[in-house]
Amino acid sequence: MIRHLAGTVLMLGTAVAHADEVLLPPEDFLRQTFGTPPPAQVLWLDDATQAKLKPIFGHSYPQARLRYWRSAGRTAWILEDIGKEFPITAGFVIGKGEVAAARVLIYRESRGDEIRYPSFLKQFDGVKLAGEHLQPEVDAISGATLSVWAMQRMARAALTLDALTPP
Amino acid sequence: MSRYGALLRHWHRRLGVAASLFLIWLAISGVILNEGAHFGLDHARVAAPWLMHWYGLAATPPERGYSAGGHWLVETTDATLLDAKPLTPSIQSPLGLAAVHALLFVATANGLVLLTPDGQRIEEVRAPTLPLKSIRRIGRTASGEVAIQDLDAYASRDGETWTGIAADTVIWSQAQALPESERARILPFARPSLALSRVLADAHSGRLFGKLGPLLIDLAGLAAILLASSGVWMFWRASRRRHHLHPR
Repeated sequence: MIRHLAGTVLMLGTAVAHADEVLLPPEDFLRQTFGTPPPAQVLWLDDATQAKLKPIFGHSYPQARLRYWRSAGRTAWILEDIGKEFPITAGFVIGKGEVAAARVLIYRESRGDEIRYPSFLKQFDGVKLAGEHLQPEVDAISGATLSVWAMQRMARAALTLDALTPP
Repeated sequence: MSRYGALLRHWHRRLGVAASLFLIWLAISGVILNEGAHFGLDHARVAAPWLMHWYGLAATPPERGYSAGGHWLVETTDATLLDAKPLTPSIQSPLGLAAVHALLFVATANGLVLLTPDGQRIEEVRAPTLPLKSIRRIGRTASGEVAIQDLDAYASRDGETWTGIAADTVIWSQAQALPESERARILPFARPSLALSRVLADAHSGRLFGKLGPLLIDLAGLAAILLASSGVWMFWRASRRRHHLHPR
């Protein structure tokens, strides 16, 4: 019995360890966005910035600085947030205070990867911040709720960070 | 009521009582599993020693880790520790550690994590900021630069600007045997834990209760089918009898 349970736990652990899936390498995301990517700029996440991110993520963003790319009035952000157990890496392009594009770059969760599909990601096009929410709302996907919530949080963070950067 | 009908009713009642506890358990655990995400239960983990013992899991501190600049980087089952303190967020499958200019660099297969000496994350950099898409190893040059290599090797003083170097000029970070004192420090973080949802799923399916568990749950399922069938049958017979006695 014990051997059986331990065996299934180990199998689950192995499956989780192999769940890291690069859907779109970050450099390809930047190339798709800008053609030739501009040099990265650095935004230090000081106390004031973290105070704006904390209500979005429920905690401070877990690093001291972020890189972003700006060209032709648009910024690109590569952010991470945990859906259920592991971080999802996503790229957001922001222009004129709206999401111009959203992409899932690296997916590490064991389920919920339906957020990678264009039919879901297209919902972010033109989305703006309206107080603490996105406007228009982004519909959830049955069975991928936590991943959808993570994408919504990252979109809000990207819009917030874009507003904090110099033009 | 016919003798056959009375017998069916008798066994329907007995089977209902016998199966009730299992069916209630299945219903409750099923609802918790289904709605757990809404209450944050899917993030919860359990580490009760008796339960871990039941699963055959025991605390086993790793035997090897990476050392640089007087710091130890160790990966346990559930966490990655710097000097026996868990890193948040955790770093999955670190490949090595380098200490350069009061900064710590941890390599993973796809990126480089910059940490302060007390484990605060400054950032994680990947290509195109890094000159490599994937990293095989990390080390330190004789002149005190951090170096990374996949096929080609590059070195940097600050993690920003990278220049190509010869790989044989680098002291590469390698896993080393952990001193007993360090193993003792990380023991509290090497205790196994399981996702609560996993334990609930095992309890729901009966696997948690030994070899007989799934069989009992299967029998409860069979009982539910029999109860439903006999209930419908008795309802149908009673309706037919009423219709026969009081035709419209």
